[in-house]
Amino acid sequence: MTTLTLSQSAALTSYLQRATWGLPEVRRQELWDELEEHLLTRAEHLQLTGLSSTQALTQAIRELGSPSRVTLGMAKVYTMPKLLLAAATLALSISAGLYALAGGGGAVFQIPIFEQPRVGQLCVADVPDALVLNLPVLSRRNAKICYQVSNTTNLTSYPSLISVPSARQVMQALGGTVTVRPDGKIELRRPNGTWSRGDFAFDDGTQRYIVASTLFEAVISTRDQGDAITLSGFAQPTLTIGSTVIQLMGKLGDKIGNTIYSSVMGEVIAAVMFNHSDAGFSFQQTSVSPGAPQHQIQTRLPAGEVVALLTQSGKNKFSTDFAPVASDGTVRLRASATRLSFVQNALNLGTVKSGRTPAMLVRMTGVPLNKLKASVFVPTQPLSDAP
Amino acid sequence: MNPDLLRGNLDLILLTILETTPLYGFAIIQAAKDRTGGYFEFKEGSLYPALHRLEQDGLLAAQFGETGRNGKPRKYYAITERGRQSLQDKRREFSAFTGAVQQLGGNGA
Repeated sequence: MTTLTLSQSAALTSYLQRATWGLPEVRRQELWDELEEHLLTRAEHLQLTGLSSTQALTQAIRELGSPSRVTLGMAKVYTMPKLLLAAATLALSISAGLYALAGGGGAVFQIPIFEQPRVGQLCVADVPDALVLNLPVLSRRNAKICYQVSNTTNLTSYPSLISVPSARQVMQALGGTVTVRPDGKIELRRPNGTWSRGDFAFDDGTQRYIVASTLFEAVISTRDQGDAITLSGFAQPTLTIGSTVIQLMGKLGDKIGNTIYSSVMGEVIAAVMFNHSDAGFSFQQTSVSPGAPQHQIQTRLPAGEVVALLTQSGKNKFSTDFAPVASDGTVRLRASATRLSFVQNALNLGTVKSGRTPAMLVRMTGVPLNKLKASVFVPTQPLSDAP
Repeated sequence: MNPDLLRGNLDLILLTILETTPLYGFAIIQAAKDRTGGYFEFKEGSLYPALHRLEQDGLLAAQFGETGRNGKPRKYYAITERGRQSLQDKRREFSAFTGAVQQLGGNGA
């Protein structure tokens, strides 16, 4: 049996993890063993030509090619639904931009998000106010109620949904799993063993769905894997996690953006106000109400970038809003105060001076979430008075 | 050689290599090189998905052999009866195609 140094072993494991992402567990192990054996055998042959063991393994990995190529090839055989396969293949062929985002070597997934009521059963546990509707009740089991949704149903606060197979595709790509538990809940398990469980489920008779934010929160929590997460786009947001690119596809524009950027506001505060290495920090984050004063802020950012506005209302209490930049460079953001003064330094938040509430602007897109401190900016006009 | 030709005939090539003896992935690549004087050079990352696809289609069957360099049993691929029938079909198709191309080119193709 071949013996590897620690760094060789890390390089080999990293390659094998990426090449086998997304496969069912049994198949994953089988392919893992097969590729590992291939690489070690090839490396041994290359050593006979005079290469060092490290050079030989590096060369063997290079010869085997991009792990995403293997992943996509295997997904065609085992896991990927035809629609996603077409999307991923297309992305692989023509989307150089996405590949650049992925550092040139990862897998690209285009995941459909459903934002309009779909005909079928909407099953809810812990019914949120927005969803208390006059819908026919199909069943009640324990704390869970299933309603019938029809073509004529008008749900104003309908949650963005993602199908369970799509959620599984994403989690498997990141080394996690998605399983339906005996109690009907859907469990998203991260590679580090921690998990989230979705209380919402929707069934249209052919497949089940979870609320999209459940998936986003699980994905975002993978940051402790050491992979940076970067967001881009608003109407069709893209998450780049390590070398994996997840592009969310929908039809209703801002709704997906609102869902996903809401999901990461806690991350924004954590990055800007605290150090991730600080153990045990805690804070309270609330979104400003829709009726709060709206500020129109001129920026130098290109259209489509997303900006967050933070104000502090007490010790570790923050109010937030976010919006995409318009084509003229302006961004409209709400804050609890009418008169704002923009600051660069987090230490200056919280203390009202000369009747102005300090506020912080953070560019949320194009920068890894854990590096957002570097994307705080003060606009050319550092004061704002809402009408 | 033109990689499109290799890709388009990958199943035919793999089934031919495995027609007489089961082999594992790395040995298949070596056999392809050795038996064609280096003419066939696989994109290795494409080989394993192709082998797994043929296995899923029932044209190849997996057999586990001796322990490999990673301490795990090596996975050998053996042609199945269905694989042999498919190989015959593919050979006929290929002969018909190359024959037609030669006719087009006045036997000079």
